[in-house]
Amino acid sequence: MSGHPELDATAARLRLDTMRMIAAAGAGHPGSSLSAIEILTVLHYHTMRHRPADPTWAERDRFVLSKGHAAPALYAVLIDLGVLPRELAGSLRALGSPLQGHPDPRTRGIEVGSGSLGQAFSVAVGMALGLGRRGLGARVFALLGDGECQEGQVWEAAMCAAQLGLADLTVIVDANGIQHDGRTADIMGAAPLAAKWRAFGWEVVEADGHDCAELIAALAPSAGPHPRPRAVIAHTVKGRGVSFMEDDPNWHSVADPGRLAEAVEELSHA
Amino acid sequence: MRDAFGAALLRACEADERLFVLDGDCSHSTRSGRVADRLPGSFLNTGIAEQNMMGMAAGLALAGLRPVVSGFASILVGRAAEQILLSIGWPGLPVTIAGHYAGMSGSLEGAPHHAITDLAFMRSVPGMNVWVPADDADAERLGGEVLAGTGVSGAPPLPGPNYLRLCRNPVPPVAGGPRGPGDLRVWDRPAPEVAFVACGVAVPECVAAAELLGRHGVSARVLGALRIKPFPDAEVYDLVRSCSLVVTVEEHTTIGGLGGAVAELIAARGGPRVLRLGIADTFTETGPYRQLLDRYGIEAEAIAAATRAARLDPDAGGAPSGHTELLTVTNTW
Repeated sequence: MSGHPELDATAARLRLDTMRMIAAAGAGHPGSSLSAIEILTVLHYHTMRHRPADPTWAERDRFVLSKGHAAPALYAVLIDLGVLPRELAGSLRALGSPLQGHPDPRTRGIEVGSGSLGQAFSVAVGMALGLGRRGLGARVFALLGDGECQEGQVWEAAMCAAQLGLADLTVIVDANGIQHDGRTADIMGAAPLAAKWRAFGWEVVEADGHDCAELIAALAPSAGPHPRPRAVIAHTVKGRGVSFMEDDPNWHSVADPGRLAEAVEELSHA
Repeated sequence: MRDAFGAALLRACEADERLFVLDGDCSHSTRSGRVADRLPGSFLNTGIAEQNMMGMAAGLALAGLRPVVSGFASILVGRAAEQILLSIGWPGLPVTIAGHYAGMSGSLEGAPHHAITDLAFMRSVPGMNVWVPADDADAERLGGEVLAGTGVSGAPPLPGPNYLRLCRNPVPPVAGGPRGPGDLRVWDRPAPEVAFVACGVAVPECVAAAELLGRHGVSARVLGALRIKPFPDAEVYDLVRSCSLVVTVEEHTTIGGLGGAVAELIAARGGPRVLRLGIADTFTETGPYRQLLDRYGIEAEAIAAATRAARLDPDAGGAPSGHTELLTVTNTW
């Protein structure tokens, strides 16, 4: 419990909705979706300025899911907020559904299409520059995975955002320590992540990515004297909330309807 | 051509503050530096990081600006291909990509600076509009119209991103050839047996090749295509269907570019045989530009000779394929 019972309750609801969607689809990235639930919750239900009834409102803060494989978690948010109709929830990954396997720019509420890692972060950098030039005062939040930080484009974009002093840009790294084939540290260790982002000119804050109070503090507007983009290294647990999924590399991407149903069952009684 | 387009770019930026130019540290070469000098608030050198530059252009477009990405065609389209496809193409954003030094016009820099596959890739990106000016006047007028988003030649503007393929060097006006429908220029001849379809620097070479063929009693019509995608299928087909041979010529691999567009058209509708001339399935090399065009057969006499050979021999396949051998010694490592 984080001292924010409403946010905790919302996160629990979204966690179950996300898992139900993935189970209905029979496949997806449950581990990567569940590690990001509190981050998405704090952003969409606390920090971001937005109008769910008017998702193209010019002055809204923008959310960019650069780790696009966590799409079901974002769909759960958009459905919960009423941006997308609840009837869609069972159609994840179905032909013709707006709930595409990865976020599609043609879907209502999706700011940027993603699914090829590293790309959407650059789009977020361009957005922050453009919105700032237009004086809209909107913040831009981009959620990246720690495995995603292996992409060279991430560091091209990081360098550029710091050079431009984009203080309205915040990156959250969902540092769950696991990528598709195994543990990030064993495959291509990104550590020390905080030092890397700091060395690239960013203000860096570390937080427990499942503690809403810590995330709220980490995502608050910067009060520093020098305008800099901020990186929040959110320490998370892959598959958070499902006992047999937590911190297990086998749950990055799965297609096992039986086990997915078990995960739904466990979350239903959480 | 870079000076002509640079002038158009500066004028367009002066007229519309939504235009914003990104260049990956080539601004002196591409002449986007003129915007940097005169309108520094409308220009950003994003450093040597083309993938990020292309993604940023998408973000700027989503923020309501009209970005222009400027750089060397070979590197922009090669290095940032996936960003062009997914960050810009997928959402169909109004980004203009100005690919300079296209074809072999980065001549002395050699193969990594020659863009010979850009048309094939850009044609295959859903929703991408692809333009190839043939001379400086084209680059300035067409470039200005694309940048302004007003539509080319009085036509309604095409939605989606635009790719402009630009040659490095000044290109004198291509004489004659009144502009017809479909952004085609046509140099007509009575009862043509051959139809040339060309783009870019190959257009004046085909006009000259048609003159040479005329001296041998072969009547050839020339079509200069400014717009490679959407390709003016109906207009081109009307002008080539009655000929017995269609010859495509481009400063690009013969796979997937203008020759591809014409071959696809004829394959779908039936009609004359297609001979595709250009750079065969090979990597190019360093050399003075004119000599390079000669070497790869993008030159009037070679075009006329290949056309005459194809008329006599239905099996003649155009430019020879195979890898160019550069080394004269055998490496033993």
